[in-house]
Amino acid sequence: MYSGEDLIRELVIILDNFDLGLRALEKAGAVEKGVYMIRAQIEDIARRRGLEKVHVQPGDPFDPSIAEALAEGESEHPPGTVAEEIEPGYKLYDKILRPVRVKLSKEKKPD
Amino acid sequence: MSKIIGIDLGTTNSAIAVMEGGEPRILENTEGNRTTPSIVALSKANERLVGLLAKRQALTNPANTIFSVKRLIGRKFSDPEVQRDKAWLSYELRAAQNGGVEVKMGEQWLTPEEISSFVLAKLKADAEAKLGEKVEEAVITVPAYFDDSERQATKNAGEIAGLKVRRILNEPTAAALAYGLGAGKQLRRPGGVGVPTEASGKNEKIVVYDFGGGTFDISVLEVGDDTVEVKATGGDTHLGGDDFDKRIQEYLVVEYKKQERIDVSKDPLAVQRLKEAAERAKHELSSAAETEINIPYISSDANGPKHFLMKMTRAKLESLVQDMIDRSVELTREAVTAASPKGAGFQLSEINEIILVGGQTRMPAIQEAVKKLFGKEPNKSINPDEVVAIGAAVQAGILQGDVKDILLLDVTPLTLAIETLGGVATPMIQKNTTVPTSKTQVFSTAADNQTSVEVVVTQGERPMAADNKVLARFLLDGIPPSPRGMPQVEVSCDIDANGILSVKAMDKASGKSQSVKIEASTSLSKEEVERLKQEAAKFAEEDARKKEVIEAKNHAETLVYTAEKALADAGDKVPADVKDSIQSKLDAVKKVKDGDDKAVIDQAVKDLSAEIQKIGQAMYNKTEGPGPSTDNGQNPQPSEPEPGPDEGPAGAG
Repeated sequence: MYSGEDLIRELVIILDNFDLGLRALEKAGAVEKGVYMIRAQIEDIARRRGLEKVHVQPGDPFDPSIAEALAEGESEHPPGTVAEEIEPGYKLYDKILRPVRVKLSKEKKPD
Repeated sequence: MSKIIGIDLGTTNSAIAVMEGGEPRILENTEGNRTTPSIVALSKANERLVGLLAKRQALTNPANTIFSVKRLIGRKFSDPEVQRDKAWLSYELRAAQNGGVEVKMGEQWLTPEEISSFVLAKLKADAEAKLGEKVEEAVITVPAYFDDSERQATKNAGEIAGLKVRRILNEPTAAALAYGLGAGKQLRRPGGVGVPTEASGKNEKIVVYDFGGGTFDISVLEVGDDTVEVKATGGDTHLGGDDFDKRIQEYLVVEYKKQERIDVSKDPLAVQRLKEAAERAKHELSSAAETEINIPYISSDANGPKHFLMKMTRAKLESLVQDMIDRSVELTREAVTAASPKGAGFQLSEINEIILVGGQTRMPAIQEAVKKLFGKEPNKSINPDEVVAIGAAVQAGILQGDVKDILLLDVTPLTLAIETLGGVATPMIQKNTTVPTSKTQVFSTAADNQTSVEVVVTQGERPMAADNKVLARFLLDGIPPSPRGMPQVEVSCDIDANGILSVKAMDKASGKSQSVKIEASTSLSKEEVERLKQEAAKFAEEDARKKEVIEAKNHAETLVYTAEKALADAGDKVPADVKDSIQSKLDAVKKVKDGDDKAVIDQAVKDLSAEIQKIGQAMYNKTEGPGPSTDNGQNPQPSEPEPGPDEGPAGAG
C-alpha cells in the first residue's frame, strides 16, 4: 500500500463526482472557467502524490488489468471491445486504484 | 530450502502469508492487494483470468466466470448441497464420469480441483514475485467440516498448481494458531489466546466465529497440550457478509425511489455507485454512529440531474441486518451447547476464548452479540480477513522449524469404521484419535466358499454403516474357497498428518491385497493430477512469456513517447535527414509494438534507441560549432553538471 493511498482513493470519488457535475453543467451551457480550475487543483494534489488518470478508447480491446466491464451494448465496434468509457480510471504509480468503467460491444442482432 | 507459504483458500477471497524473521506476514498480490478474489474466468478474448481481473469482467461474462468453487470441490454431483448451489450459480455444472462435479468454462469442462489450482497457481506466482524466490511448498487451509474427499481434492488442487502441500489445516485451527493457542503455551501475541492454564494437560475450549463473504462457519475446538480437537462445527453455508451489503444496497435503492420516484436499479453505473456507497457506509458505521450517503448526479429526469443525499445511522444499519446476526448467534449457541453430534455439548460459560474471523466481524453489533452470548470479550486484534492465512503461515513455520514453541496435531473428527456382517459399522479408528495414526484388524468371510470381500469404509458415529457416510468401497477377490470364518483378511487404516486416509486389505493366505487412498470417488486420480500439473506448468511458462511481451511493449511505448518528445523539443536543431531516419525507426516501433513477438519489438526498440542518440550528437555538434568532436558530444564537460533525466540533451533549451 502506498502512503496516502486511502486519502487519494477518497479524492478519486470527488473527482468522479466533479466530472459528472461538469458534464451536467456543460449540457446547460458554457461553464465558468474557475470551476474547471478548482477541479484541476484537486487533481493536482493527487497527481503530485502519484495519481494518474487512465483512459480507454472505443474500439480498444477490453483489458481487465485496467478496466472493469459494467455493461454490454450494441455498437459499431467489434464484439468484446470497448463500446464506451463510462468513467475514467485512476492509478497510483503502478497500482490501479480504480479501473476504467466501460461498456463493452456485443454482437449485433440481425435485423 | 525455499519458504513454505500459508494459503487461506477461501470461498470468496484467498490470502497468502509467510513467516519472516519469526513473524507471520501477509504477502500482497501483483495487483497490490492483500486478498485475491477466488475467481477464475475465460474472457471473451479466450484468455484465462484469475482473481481481480476475472472479477472485473464477471458482470458481462457470467457464464464463463467461475466463483465459489470451494462449495463444489470434492463433492458428488448428486450431493444435495451441490444441487442447491446449481440453482443459483451462473455457470453450468454437470456430473463427471466418476460422480464428481464438472464446471463449464468456455468450451471446456473442468473439475473444481482444476479451477482451484488456477487460483493457487496465481497465489504461488504472486508469492514468488513478492519474495523474489521460488515457492514449492504450502500449507492450505480448509473448513473444519471438510471430509476426506474435500481435503484430498484441495490437496490435488495444490499439487496441480505445482505446490507440494505439506499440510491441509483446519481454518479454525489456523485462526487459533495465529493467536498462539495452546494450553500451557507461551503467548505469542498480547491479548491473544492461550493464557497458560495452571496444570499442563488442562484443555482449553475455543470457539471460532467466522463470518466470511459468503459463508458463516462456527467451530468449537478443544486444545490440549499438543492436540487440537474439533468438537463441533456448525453454521450456514449461505449466509455471509455479502448478504449484509446486498441488504443495505436494496434499502438504498428503495429510499432513493421514495425520494425521487426514480428506479436506479437498472442503471449499471448508478448500481455500482450505490454498491460502493453501501460498502463505505457499512465500514464507516463500524466506527461512527452516523454516516452520510452522498451520491451526487446519480440519475436525471426531465427536470435535470438528481442527487442522493441521506443520513444513515448505525441503529438503522443494525435493524436492516439484525435477523442475520440473530441467526448467527443461534447457530453458535447450537454448535456449542447441543449434544453431540449437533454440538459440542459444552456450557457457554465453559468457553475460554472466542476468536473472530472474517471481515464482517468488524461490525460492532456482531462483536457485541458474541460478547453477550459468551459473557466475555472476543479476540479480534488480528485483521479478521487475514487471520487464517497468518495461522497457515505459523503452521508452515512449525513445519519449517522456524516456530518451535508450538507442536500441534489435529485429531480425527469422526470414527472410521468398516462395514461388517449385518451392516454393522465396526470401528477401526475412534474419533478424537491424534493423527497421524494407523490401525490393523483381521476380518473373515461370512459365507462358505466366499472368494471375495467388499470393504466398505464409513465415517460417522452411528452404529449402522448405512447411517454413516461411505468414504470408499473396494473389492478384494481371489480368496481361496474355504469355510466361512476361515480366511484371514487383514484390513489396515492409516491416516496421515493431513487427515487423509488410506485403507489396505490383504488376504493372509494368498497374499493378495487391494488398497485405496480415500480420495473419495469424486477425486482425481494420481495420473490425472500429474497430467494437469504438467499442463499448469506449461501455462505458467506461457504466462511468463506473455508478461515478457507486455514488458517489451511497455518499454516500446515509453521509448516512442521519449523519441516523439525529443524530436519535438529539438525542433530544427537537428538536420532533416537525421529526423527522417529517426521517424522511420519510430514508425517501425509503432508498427510492431502491439504484436506479440518479443524479439521483433526488442529489435525495433534497439534500433530506435540507437537512432535517437543522434539527436544529442547533432545538437552537441551544433553548440560546439563545426569540426570533429573527440567525444562525439555525448559526454558533458567536466565542469558542467550532468543533465537530469528529464532535461533532455544539454543545451537544448
